[in-house]
Amino acid sequence: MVDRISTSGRYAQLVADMQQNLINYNRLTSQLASGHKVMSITDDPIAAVNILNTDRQLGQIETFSTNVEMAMSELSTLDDLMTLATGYLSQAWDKAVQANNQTYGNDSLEALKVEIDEIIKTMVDLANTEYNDNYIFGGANTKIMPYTIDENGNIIYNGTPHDNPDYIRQTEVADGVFEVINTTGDRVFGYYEAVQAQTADGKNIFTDADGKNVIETIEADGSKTYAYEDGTAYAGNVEDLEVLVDHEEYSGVMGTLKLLSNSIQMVLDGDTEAGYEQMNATLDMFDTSMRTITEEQTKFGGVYNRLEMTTSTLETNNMNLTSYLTEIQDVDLTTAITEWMQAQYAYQASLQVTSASLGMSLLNYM
Amino acid sequence: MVSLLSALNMTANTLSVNEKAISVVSHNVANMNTEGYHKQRVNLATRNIAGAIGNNVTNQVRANGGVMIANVMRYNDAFLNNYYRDQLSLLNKLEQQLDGIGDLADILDDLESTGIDAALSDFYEALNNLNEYPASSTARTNFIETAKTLTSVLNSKSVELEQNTTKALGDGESQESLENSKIYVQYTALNDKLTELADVNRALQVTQTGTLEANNLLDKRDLILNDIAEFVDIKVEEHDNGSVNLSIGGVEVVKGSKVTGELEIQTAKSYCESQDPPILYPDDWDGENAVISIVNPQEDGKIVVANANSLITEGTLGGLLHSATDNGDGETNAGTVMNSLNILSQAIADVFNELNTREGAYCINPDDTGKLIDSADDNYLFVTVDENGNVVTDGITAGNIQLNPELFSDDGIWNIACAYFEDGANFDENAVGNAQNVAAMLGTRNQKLDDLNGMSLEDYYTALVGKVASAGSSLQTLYDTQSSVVDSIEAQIKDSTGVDLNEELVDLVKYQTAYSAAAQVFNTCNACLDTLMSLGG
Repeated sequence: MVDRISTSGRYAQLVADMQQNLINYNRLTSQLASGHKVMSITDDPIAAVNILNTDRQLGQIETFSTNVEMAMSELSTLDDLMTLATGYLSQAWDKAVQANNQTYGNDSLEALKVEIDEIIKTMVDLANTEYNDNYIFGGANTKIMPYTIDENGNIIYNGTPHDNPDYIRQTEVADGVFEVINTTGDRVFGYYEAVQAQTADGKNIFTDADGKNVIETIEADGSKTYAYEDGTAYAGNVEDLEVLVDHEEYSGVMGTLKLLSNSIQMVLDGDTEAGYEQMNATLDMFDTSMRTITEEQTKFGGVYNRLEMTTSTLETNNMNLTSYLTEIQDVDLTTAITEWMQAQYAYQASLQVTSASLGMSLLNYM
Repeated sequence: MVSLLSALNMTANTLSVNEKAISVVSHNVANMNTEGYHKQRVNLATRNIAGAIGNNVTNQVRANGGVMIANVMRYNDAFLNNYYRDQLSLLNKLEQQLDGIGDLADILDDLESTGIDAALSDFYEALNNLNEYPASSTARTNFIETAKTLTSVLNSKSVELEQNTTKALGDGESQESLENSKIYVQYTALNDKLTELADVNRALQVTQTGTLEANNLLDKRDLILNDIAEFVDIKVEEHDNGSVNLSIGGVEVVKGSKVTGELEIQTAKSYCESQDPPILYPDDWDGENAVISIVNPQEDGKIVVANANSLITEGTLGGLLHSATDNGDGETNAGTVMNSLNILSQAIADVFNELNTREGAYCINPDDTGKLIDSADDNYLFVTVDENGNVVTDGITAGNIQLNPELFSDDGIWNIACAYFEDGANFDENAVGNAQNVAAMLGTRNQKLDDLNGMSLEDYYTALVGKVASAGSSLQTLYDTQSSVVDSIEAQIKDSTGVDLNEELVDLVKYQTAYSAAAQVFNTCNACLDTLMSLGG
């Protein structure tokens, strides 16, 4: 029945048309005012899901970037420390070469030994460096000091040993990609331990001033008693007892330096031949230790380079995603304003037409 | 003489007919803005006086009886009306569904990074931090706080969803929440309308069809039917006298002047208890929170249909009933979203509890924070508390997920198992810097979980958002389309049955002119009679 239009139908139509124009105008206005194309997730489901995913990826990238930055700064510290260690080591090597000349007198040798012992202490301090509240060279044992020197001069490593695969600390630098950022003290610096001789039932053996063996027994209450092998009690001062060394265990920088120091001591003590022989042997060890450090430096240099590359990948991704996000999320102002103006005109026009035609009827002409 | 007098008579009658016609015009003009008013038109007919015999012209003139009102026609289109009501029911259903899904979209709207997605991201961010500093109490506290935020967000979303359902249908248990729900108001109003319809039916049965009174009653009847169609989808069967029978889902609820089916509503719980044998609520109940039944007031409230929810598919009631509960029809609504969030919550709990308690995972010894200690088998991160107050890891939902209360005790922060040794032989109690378990936790960000249809935690949530967004968007399209369908039918009905002022004014002038002319004829006849009387005087 299109041939008939009723007055109330016409009114309703006019109102509906105005309403439609107003809705459209209002939608474009709020888009412009907020700057967002997608006001609610139901506006554009695909864009909404993409926005969520992109937001999340951007967040991840930010985290990875922070991780990479921190890792790089820790790796620089690691590298600096190893460079320092190499420096001290070459100093010590110079001394070792000099001492091996066998031309030094006792005074000079003594001075040399003091210097070597100082270098050992410096090395230990270096190996005990903390970074970000973690001991760098402790492996996973980040909270206990990696190196201690005990009263017998042993240089003991307390960190996770390198042959335990769980020494690693790692940081996530890309989705599911973890980069190991630490090494262990025993790998870089080694250790030195003079292992004390023990009886068959595991009691420590000492020697007294006369070179006789004294056996230490730990009683049930924890106190220690000392007796000769024949069972007679040791009557002298406990402090005067010396550890009977069964054998030495050592490796790396610490082992080299300690052996060097020990060999000088042997020469000073009069055991010249064996002392010089051991001194000479340390020269080769210097080589090996130096090489180990350089190897580690090279390894982490590689990691550092990878991280640098990762940084630029992350930056590129970040830029791409950000611009993608802008594309799907933000209004294109030129288009939006044009559409908004059009909607405004349409709305104005509908207002004008409605007001003009609302009162039109035959009534006006009677 | 005879014809002069009859002409006089005829004009008197014409005056009266035009008066009546003008009064109908007046009725039309008066009601031009009345909702549901159908324009009425006076149909005039020639009055014929019987007794004209043969081809005698005089006799034939005698047969002309002037004019009479044949009937007062009501502009109407029964087909359009029925079509309109069907579409109106659908529109109202869609409106409720759209309303519901709009609330859901608001609840899940993560575009401003304030929802579950952001909480999950923050959670993983805190894990990342923990990976850097596994032994730091700050990193651990931060992790616990963000995990707590995650559970709180899940809890609050769950509450919002529940409110969404409760707002529509009540909580399924308390009568009070049912009485405050949208559906309660709707069903009461619908019952009132059924009674009104029966009353109008009664009036129509005693009124002559084709009269003004009947026309006005029909307007009223159609209005009531339209109102009812907004609530629920109906079938209408019309009788000759204009009264109608009404059925909902095949059940006759109004038969002539009697309401034969009244709606009653009860909570799902009370429905379950009233069944024989009783249904265990809520475990065995998979229906809606409110149950509508149809009873016959003519037979002392005999139950006609105990659970009429499935009969009511459209209209506001249909929309409310079927947009809040997950009834397995695949439609996205508050119920399905709630189910998905529950699955997600359980998955979060399972994944992280498993890692935190697995063989080889170690926490920090609270008595010596420089040492590791084996993570206990019940050292869970995410738990819920059962009705007996026990901490359990099964039956976790978005509404009840919480952090293990142990984590908030004085030494709770050390309970997070950051360290992991795959080979027990490598264990070193000093290795507090070992963060391999945290790395594994971070790895769950990309882990495809069987419980989540092979998706990761975040993907599952995004998919849920996408589902709601698509459902909302397609519902919006459906609603817009339906709305324009209804609008266009409404416009058609309005145009074809409404009052057009121009038409009325023309009619008015038409009848006025006829009236004036008849008066003039009267005068002329009168003058003729006067002339006749004065003849020979």
